[in-house]
Amino acid sequence: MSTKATAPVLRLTDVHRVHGDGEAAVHALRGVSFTAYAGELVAVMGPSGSGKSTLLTIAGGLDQPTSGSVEVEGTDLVGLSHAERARTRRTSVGYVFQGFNLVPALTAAENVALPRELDGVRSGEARRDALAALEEVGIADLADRFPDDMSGGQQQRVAIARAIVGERRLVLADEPTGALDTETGEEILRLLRARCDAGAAGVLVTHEARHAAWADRVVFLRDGVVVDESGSAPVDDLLEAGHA
Amino acid sequence: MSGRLSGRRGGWSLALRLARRDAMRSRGRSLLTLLMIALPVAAVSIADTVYATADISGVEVVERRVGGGQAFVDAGYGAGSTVFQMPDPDDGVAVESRTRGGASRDAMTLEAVEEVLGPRPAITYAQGSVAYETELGVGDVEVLEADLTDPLAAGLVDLTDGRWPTSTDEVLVNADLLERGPGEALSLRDGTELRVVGTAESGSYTNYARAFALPGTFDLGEPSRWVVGGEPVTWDEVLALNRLGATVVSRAVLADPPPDSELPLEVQWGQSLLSGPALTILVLIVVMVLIEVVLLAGPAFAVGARRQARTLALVAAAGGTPAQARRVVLASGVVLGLVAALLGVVLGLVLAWAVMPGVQRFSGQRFGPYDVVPTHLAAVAAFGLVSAVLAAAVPAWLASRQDVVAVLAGRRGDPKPSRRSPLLGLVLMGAGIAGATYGGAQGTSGGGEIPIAVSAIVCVLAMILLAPVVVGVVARLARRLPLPLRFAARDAARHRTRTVPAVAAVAATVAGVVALGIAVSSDEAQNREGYTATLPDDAAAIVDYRRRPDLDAMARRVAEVAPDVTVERVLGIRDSGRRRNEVRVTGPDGGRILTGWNSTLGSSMLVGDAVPAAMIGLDDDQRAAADAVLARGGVVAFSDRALEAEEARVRLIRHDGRERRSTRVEFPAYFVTPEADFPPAQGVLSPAAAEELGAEVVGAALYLPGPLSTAEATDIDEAVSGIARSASFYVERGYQTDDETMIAQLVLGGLGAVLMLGGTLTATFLALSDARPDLATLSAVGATPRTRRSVAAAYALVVGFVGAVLGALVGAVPGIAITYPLTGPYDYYGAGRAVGPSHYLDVPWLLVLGVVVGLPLLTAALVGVTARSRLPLTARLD
Ligand SMILES: Nc1ncnc2c1ncn2[C@@H]1O[C@H](COP(=O)(O)OP(=O)(O)OP(=O)(O)O)[C@@H](O)[C@H]1O
Ligand SMILES: [Mg+2]
Repeated sequence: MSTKATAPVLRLTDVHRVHGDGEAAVHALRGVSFTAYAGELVAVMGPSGSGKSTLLTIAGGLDQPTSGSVEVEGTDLVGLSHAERARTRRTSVGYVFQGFNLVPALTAAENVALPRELDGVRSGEARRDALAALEEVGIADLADRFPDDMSGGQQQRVAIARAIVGERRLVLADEPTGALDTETGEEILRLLRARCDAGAAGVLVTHEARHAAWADRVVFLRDGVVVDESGSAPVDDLLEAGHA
Repeated sequence: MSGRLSGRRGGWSLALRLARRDAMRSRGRSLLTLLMIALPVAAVSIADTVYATADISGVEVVERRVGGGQAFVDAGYGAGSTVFQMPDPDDGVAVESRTRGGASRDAMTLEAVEEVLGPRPAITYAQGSVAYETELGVGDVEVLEADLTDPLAAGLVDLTDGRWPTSTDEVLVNADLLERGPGEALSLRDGTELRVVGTAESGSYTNYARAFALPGTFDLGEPSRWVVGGEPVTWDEVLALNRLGATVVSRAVLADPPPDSELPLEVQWGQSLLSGPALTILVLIVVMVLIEVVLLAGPAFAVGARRQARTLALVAAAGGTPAQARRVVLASGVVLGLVAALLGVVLGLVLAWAVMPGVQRFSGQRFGPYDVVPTHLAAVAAFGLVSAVLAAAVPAWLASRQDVVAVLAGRRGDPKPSRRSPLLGLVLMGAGIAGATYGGAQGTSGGGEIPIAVSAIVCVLAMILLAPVVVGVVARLARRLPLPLRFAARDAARHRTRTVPAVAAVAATVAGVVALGIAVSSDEAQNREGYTATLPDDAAAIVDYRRRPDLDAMARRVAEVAPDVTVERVLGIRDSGRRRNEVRVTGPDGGRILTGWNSTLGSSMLVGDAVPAAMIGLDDDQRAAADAVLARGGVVAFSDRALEAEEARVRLIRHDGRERRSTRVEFPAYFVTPEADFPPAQGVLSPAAAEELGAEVVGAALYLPGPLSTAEATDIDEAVSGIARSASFYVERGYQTDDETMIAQLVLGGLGAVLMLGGTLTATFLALSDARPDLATLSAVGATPRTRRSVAAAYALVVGFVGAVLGALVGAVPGIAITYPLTGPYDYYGAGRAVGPSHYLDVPWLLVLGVVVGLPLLTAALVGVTARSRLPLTARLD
């Protein structure tokens, strides 16, 4: 079902993240390494507090690892300045969060166009890109609605459109279906899957084994360590072995 | 890919769009911010527009001054002087007299004017004041004589009813004069009756009783003013007339004034009015107002940025740089600032138009047509915009540093408090205190005020930097306080971005009030100290200054209107009129002993066998000693220095027309050094001494030992002025605060109260809306609505009280410093003879207490009463 592409889009190598210091230090991640290739959707699972969200924010350059390296499309984010990491997020990385993903003061199209506009693209062009992305997630007709006038599922579709607008090749999703009913959640995951099939790399944090089934691989985290990885083995085998 | 430049532009358009939408979404907060900025803008716009409308110099309504002619020539300074004028003489005239060397002071003639301008049509224009008979007595009327029907006079006078005068026994009167009832005719003092043929108003003035007539109606002397017609009068011709001693209002020059470089040097000071100290003070005032507005608007932007935290985090996640996040918050300053500036200017223009008739009533000058100075208004609007952007600057900077990951995870991402800024605050505070000390040390020699004003601003800035620390300390101290106060203090400390500007706004207001309060009441203390009574307390004196005084008539009138009042007669030598006595007292060595005195009791030398009770300046011992000397037929004399001598030489000079005869006698004497600068007379002669000198002794004044009630005083005053307008009735009431000081204090207190209430209330309600999730949690765990009200009131108390205490401390620094230049001893004679204490210091404790304790309690009470006790259970963070 999956064709493993050659180029790694995201590669974390021995990433540590410590919050605070001394007695109060919290090791959110301790030596995590993993890779996501183009065309691949990787699910990250684990109990609450295991470091899943931390992993994702580090992967997108919103947070810096205490040690280790984070490569996005071949560039190590650790060495970059604040502004350069922001640039990476505009051009290479798209985020989808659990909820409140959208800027309430902007319409759907404007929310999607946000990374393009921040990148300095003319608003006309940014809007064209945004409409194309909305088309792709199937809600082009909602382009001029404000988030307050949309359902939760529609809002998440807009968020996904924003994550993929402008040919970005790494989509990071942190429990994107958490606030949605089952059916709508499935719909969102199908969109993510489709995007990865079209050549992007996706990392999906989820609690639910059902959702992990959409992934090509599953990475298990516990207390900041990767305890298991399905590797090239079928996802279902792993799920049954470890967590049925 | 994309250029850096286009990135910037894109960032701004996005930021402005977000700001606009955000402003629309949170209308309440936007409105609050708008008002905070628009109101000061409107106030300044009103003042500027009223001023511009009232000001009619220049080409505006020039017909009021030159009529239908080309120029108005005023040779009132007299030939023989040279004048220098601005293009509009109302803006500045300098006169150089050349009366020495035989130059005549004769009035200039029209011929002389025509020598410069060439022959041309002209009318004379004469102004003066003339006495006329009223039903009750005599009134004064301002008269204007000109050939009113000549086209050259068109616009000088507006005929409102009747017709123009056609002969010199006819006159037009204005409404003011008509009210005083000349009716059909205006009777002048010399018996001339002028027929009133209509009513008219002056083009320029709205005050006083006025009459308008043809030349020659009144006796106003040789004409020295003309309205000239013909060709336009050029600047060169104006200068030529200036050399002859005439100023010129020329229509052509006003329409096209010469460049500043061509103005005579003598009037260029008029141009540089806005230089040096005046400009510095203006800048300081603008900076102070700017700080106040910024601080008042600050909390709204802080809460706005707080509300936008999620948006800003999403922007960051989508690849926005910190600069772009900053821009989003700054843009709300730009949007609200622009709208507020426009709103303020429009509001100002409308209100100025509305209040104009009211203001006109207070001014005797007729205002010009509604007049707006666009450049001024643009500057005022820019001020509004700048203050909004500045108010948004700190929240923007903090927002760009927020912890994005924390906000995305649903926590609050307040950045850690800076450790450097309190240090900088301490340094600034030190600098402020040093500046104030330096300024105070300059004393009255001048130049101290500006360092003190600068140091006031520096202290306020320092206080802003120190406020977070103080708020933190208060939160720690609040550990033992009841829940509402503890909650409020903690919340205030946790959300410094909104608390600090609110506290600082209150503090800046209080600092201003306290500093000015100390200055005003210290000034007052000095005035009180410098006040010298002229009579014993609540006593009164009547002096008749007429050529032939009639104290008997006065005494009879007083007995009629106030039968219970004792009236004594004070005797003195006759020292006015054609036949008058002059007394010179010298010490045994023949030197002058007294530099000056006030003849408050009607004579420069009193006469009596004891020191009159009306005479103050002697204590009981001195009075007893003086009485003893007078009983022996001696004299009592005031002297500047203490004199040990027992004898005085008294010289009496009797003037009779041009004749004078002088007598000199030595008397036993008692010398007194007066407490006040000037005693009420030179001294007292015993009747025997007066007789020996041959002095003419008369009743000098009536003395009413009192105490007089206010009603009695009013009755006597009316009775006395009923007999003679030039008689004076004076009651000694001790030092009275003059109305202006009282009004200044009231305005100060009122303004302070309004700003403080406004600042605290807005900050509190903003804080409450921001703290809604926390309060919802409180309610969820069972807090009653009353608790919520108490928390709200406690928050207002914390903000108001901390701000007031900080402000009072900060305001005391420049307040105390300014008392040195303000109330220090002034060297009147420039001879190093400054006397008095180094300064007066009077802290208005009641005002300080009211501001520091009263106002915070009042605001807290207001908040407690008005806070909504029911609360929607929302915890959404957007
Ligand atoms: N700013 C911070 N300061 C201190 N500790 C932190 C901070 N952020 C996260 N942590 C800690 O790091 C660990 C990992 O947190 P993370 O949010 O990544 O967990 P998670 O796997 O996403 O959990 P969940 O499934 O509940 O979302 C937790 O123990 C958390 O308490
Ligand atoms: Mg998480």
